[in-house]
Amino acid sequence: MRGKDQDSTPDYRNQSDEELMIRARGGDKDAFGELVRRYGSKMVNLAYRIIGDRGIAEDVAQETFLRAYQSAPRYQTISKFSTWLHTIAINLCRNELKRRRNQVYSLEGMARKDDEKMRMDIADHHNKPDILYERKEIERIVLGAVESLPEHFRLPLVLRDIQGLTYEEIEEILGIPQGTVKSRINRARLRVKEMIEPFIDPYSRGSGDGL
Amino acid sequence: MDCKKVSDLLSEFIDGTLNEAERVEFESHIDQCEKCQRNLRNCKATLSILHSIESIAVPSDFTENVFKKIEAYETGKRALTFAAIAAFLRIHRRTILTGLATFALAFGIAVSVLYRLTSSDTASIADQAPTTDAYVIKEVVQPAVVPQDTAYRETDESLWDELRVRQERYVFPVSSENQPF
Repeated sequence: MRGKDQDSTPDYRNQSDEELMIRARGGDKDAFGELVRRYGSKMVNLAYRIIGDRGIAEDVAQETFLRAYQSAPRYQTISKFSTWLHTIAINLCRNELKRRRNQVYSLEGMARKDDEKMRMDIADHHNKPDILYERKEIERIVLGAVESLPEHFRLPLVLRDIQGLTYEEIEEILGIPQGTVKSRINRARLRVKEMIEPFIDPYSRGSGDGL
Repeated sequence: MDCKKVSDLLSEFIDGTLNEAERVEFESHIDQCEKCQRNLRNCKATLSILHSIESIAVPSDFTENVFKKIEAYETGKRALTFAAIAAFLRIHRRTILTGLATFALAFGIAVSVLYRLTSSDTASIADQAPTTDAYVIKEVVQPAVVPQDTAYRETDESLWDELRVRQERYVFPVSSENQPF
């Protein structure tokens, strides 16, 4: 049964995440397999939007499930499974980002490349304001803008606007007060908006919020 | 409410989490401020793009790879346990062997002492035991060897026999006291 992603044991399909996790805690690997199928895509996408490297994102997502499996005996049902899993994933992403920050040389190179690309995109647009940008191109620019945000803005923004979590869940995952979560998400959104405004609103020059 | 405040509350207005009073104030400002209207419109457009971004596809063998990692972890954990035990035995080899040898020796001695104590006869116990105990034991043992009555009888008879022999074979030596002058 394991390894066949398209097959999901019918008995498990109707069970909640928490029920499956309790089964997994008791050694039921098939129940855990169902959780992997439910959250595999979400975890890969979360890691990808935070780290920006698909291969590493898959590794981080797999590691997230391994850590969840290892920590299953300590899983408490008072915590929502998806929040608990996101917390593990976010911690692994932070570790990966920290590891990357330590690789000063390569990171500086990447940052320079990203900045140059962003500046070129904006300069191109300013030179040719009538260009109608394709939706895919806009998406790419938005994701580039998200990726260029500082970590303390990027994490809450990804959790809120890509993962679709609530403010309460983000507060629990990041371990910061809800007021701070709201403030950071607002500022992150405004920063992304400022970066992509030239592409979606040609008449917006000079309308920045000074953030 | 000024433009700065409106900018601070932009996200919450879009998410619909403002309280009624804040929402009324926010909308009142927006209605009159073209710059804030543009900000709100562009922020909504940005979020619309963000929310519609397609998820990247997950490889079909993702679940399988997760379980491979889990199996590797469990195998590694078992191997680590064996390795830890082997390392412990290797490091403490001398202590363990000395301990085992000492135990074996003590066990051997204990068994041998117990064997001797349980298999010896009463006499030997009496011999080894302290004097007072020996007396008691001897007192108990003695009657079993020869009945006292018989012994007395035998002794008396043998005395009389000896007397008879003396009477028959010898003349009683006459002491000087019995002789006539």
